[in-house]
Amino acid sequence: MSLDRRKEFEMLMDVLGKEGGDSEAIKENLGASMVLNKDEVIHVNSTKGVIITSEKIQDGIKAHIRVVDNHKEEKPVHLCFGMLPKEGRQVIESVIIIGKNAKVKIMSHCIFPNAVNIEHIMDGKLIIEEGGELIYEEEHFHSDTGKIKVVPKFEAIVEKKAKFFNNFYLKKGKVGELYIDYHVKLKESAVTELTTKIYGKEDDFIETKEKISLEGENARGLILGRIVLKDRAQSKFIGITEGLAPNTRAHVDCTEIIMDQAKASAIPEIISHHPSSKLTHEAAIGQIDQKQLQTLMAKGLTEDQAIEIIVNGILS
Amino acid sequence: MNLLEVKDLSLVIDGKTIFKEVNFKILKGEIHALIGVNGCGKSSIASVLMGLVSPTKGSIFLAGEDITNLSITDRAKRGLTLAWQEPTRFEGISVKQYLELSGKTKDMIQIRNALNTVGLLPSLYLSRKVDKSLSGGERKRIELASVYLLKPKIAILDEIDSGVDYVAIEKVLETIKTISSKGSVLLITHQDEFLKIADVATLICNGIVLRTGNPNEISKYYKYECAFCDDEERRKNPLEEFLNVTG
Ligand SMILES: Nc1ncnc2c1ncn2[C@@H]1O[C@H](COP(=O)(O)OP(=O)(O)OP(=O)(O)O)[C@@H](O)[C@H]1O
Ligand SMILES: [Mg+2]
Repeated sequence: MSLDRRKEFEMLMDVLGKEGGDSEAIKENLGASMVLNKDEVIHVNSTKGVIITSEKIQDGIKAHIRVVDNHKEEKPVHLCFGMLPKEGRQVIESVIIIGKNAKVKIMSHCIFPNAVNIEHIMDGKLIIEEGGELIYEEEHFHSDTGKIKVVPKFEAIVEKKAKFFNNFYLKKGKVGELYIDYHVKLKESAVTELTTKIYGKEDDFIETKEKISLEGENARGLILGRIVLKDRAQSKFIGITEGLAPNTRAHVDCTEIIMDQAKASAIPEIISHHPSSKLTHEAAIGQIDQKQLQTLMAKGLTEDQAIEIIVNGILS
Repeated sequence: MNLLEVKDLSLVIDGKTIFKEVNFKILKGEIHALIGVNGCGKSSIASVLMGLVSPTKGSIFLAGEDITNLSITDRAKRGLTLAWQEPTRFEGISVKQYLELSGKTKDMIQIRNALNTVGLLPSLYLSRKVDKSLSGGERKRIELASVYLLKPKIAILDEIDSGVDYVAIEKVLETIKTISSKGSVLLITHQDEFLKIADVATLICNGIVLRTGNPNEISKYYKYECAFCDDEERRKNPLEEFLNVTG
């Protein structure tokens, strides 16, 4: 590794560690991992069961992650997508294939500590083969200022009896502009849960579009959104569930808390092509619950302290 | 010494009188029961005492200080607290966190002790969430544990007994007695077992204080008395009237 790259690596690991991420696991090669600074891979480690390769593309990389059949990876795979420069565009195309009956947890950390004007685009193709399981957790750490545009997009195919859990968290720093676009296709008896937790502040703009297509019999899906907005932040939540096979079930559960001059909308779309497909949704947009506030204030907390505790709970 | 004094307290909402010219006093260390039939105004009085709602008229004094216009937080800081009749749920907050913030302590010995006091096993409950997954009785007992940790000067317990099973009742009674050994308790209840631990009871009927006195005496007739609480003449001989009616 060149001196510059080592320095970049150390700096990213430092930020990750400070934000509560497991930088030691990456530094000590305790599991599979990959670290990116802007459009360059500065660290990669594959294991026996998790093979990571990459190639250069315009403004970024194309990453391939493959978990071999029947392999259960004990340690989480860490992906660190960093951007140390103040400005720039980062494109990550990923192809993630989880082999038959394989199991893995991928933790993706997106770190833009010095962001002034940054665009981060993720375009993923995920295939979880029969009986496989993927937990994909994406956490963003942004600077408190700066203009960041984040566009996470993926299409996932979850084969028979496979499971896919996706968690997207953006709770620290400024969101900037965020456009989530997820589409999960579930085959027979496949399961998915898409969880999104976002704290929007100032003039942040958040649009999340999540779609689950229940293509196989007995497939199950859940879209869970928790969005807290303050100042002038705005959000638009679109949850789409599509029942295309018998005995399928999906539920959308979206809570948006608005404070100050924030604005929120929730648009559930339910498309049923089958009478035995049960699709439900609940969406609640409103202020912080008055009774929750009063309960904590009756224990001596100030209103601001109470708000912080309630918001942290919702986003935890 | 009067720890809490309620003077001529009235509440009118949208032209409807919820309660009127309520007066009572709570002494230091006293368990003071507030009783009366459904809808007579007990919880509304509790809300006004805690500062959730402003009274239309009257004053509240805590240890001699007029707290009528103080915020909820300022009342709590002076030692007043309220356990709601229907305690609310909190998404994503564990029992441990909830008790830490209510007791202003992170001392696990004290927190475990509070759960044991209300008859909940710490090993089973500390990591549970204070959300919809708790049963009604469990949620009530966690609220009681929270009040216990707060060590309040005055705890208003609004039907803390409802939804609690007969095995846990003893624990809940003991906890209330312990709280009252360090402060006073305003106990809103419908149950005779809870009236038994009270030193004094105030009977509310249709938003009016009928009388304050010995809890046993009051509990004996209150069901009959309240049937005629809007008719002073018939109320004078409640049992007789009641027997006449039910014949
Ligand atoms: N915000 C409100 N607006 C209108 N009426 C109200 C309001 N709050 C309470 N009331 C009415 O005031 C009366 C007293 O209610 P309260 O809840 O205080 O009764 P309670 O004595 O606590 O009854 P319970 O034993 O059922 O708990 C009821 O008739 C109730 O409907
Ligand atoms: Mg009540």
